[in-house]
Amino acid sequence: MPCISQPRLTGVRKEAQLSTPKSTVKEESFFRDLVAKTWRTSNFLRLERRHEHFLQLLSHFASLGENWDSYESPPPSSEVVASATRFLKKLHDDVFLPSSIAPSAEGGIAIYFNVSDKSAYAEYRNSGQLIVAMYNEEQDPIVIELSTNNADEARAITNIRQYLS
Amino acid sequence: MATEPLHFARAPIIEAIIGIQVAALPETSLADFRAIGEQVRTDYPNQTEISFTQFTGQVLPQPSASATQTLIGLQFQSADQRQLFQARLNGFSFHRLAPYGNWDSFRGEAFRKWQLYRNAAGPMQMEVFSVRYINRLVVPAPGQLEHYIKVYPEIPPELPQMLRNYLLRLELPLEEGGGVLTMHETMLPSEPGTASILLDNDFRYPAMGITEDQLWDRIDLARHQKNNVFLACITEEMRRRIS
Repeated sequence: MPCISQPRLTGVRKEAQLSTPKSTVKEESFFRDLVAKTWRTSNFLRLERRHEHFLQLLSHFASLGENWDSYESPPPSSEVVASATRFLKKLHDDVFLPSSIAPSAEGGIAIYFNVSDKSAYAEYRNSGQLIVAMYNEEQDPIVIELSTNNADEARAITNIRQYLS
Repeated sequence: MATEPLHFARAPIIEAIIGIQVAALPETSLADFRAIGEQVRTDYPNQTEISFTQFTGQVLPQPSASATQTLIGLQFQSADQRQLFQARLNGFSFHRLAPYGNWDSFRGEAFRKWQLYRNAAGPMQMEVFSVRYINRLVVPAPGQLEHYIKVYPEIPPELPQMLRNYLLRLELPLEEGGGVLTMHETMLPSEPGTASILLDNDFRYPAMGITEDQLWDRIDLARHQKNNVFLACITEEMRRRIS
């Protein structure tokens, strides 16, 4: 009888890239279309797919080296990657996924939110700070400096959510 | 067919959807859909556009590519993002993410939002309706699938029995209502020591030529069908885990 083995874990991971023979591309396309329709028509499954995408990005950021942007920027530290992954899980649990995630030139990871004409980001810096900035074209930016603890991260999510609503 | 309401203390439902597909409406309906936003602003403050994007490319004689984006509807979402409905030129859908309450509140809200859509869209031809329940069954891993779920791939004993993941899709004609059940089963990312089995049951039925009263009566009947299918899919052990 089939047994569930090593589960697919949530969180940052690296997986071997398998090459795909050309002969299977057509069949894959058929199944991909079937599956894509299923995923596209469910809000939950679309969120899951985005969540997976962000986790893969964080995995990639974990492998960045010095001068990753050719402007001598330091890579995000392993602590920052872990914090950003934890923050992403909270956002996922809150059904509030970001628009994009990117490494920052100052050394860290920024998590961006864009809704209509409003934007916000939460940036984990290698220095241990959590910076939240909220802005639009008409007002001065609101910047809050926080720490990387549960209470401050919850506060960051609440503030961003309220600002964007 | 069982008609008893089904309720689990730890309901595994992560999304419930009622969908009604209609024959293509004119683009002028989009302006009427925007008016819905004003009526639901308190409970559904987040309004976003739904677009259909088409990419066209050719390699010969000259490589070229183009993309077109067409607005096909609007989505209205609650402040906590857990409840939403879509008003599209090809239909309506109402979605409830976890935590799921009960059928009456879910169906009741879907019906109220359908009425807004119906009034905005005007005369229409309903084609298909669907009731879809997506479940996440969290079980210990490693563990035997058969302990928790009754629909799973059978693997000859000569082959390895350890599953890292699988994707199962079944299309099953339903005798009652002339519909089709499309079942998807796969494994979602999960916490260490657990596996999350996705059980996605999509019940689709023809809706051509029926009245709206009949439509919602049939949606109520589909509820019982989805309950029976769900119960048939899980073992007593799984039932105990979610009770």
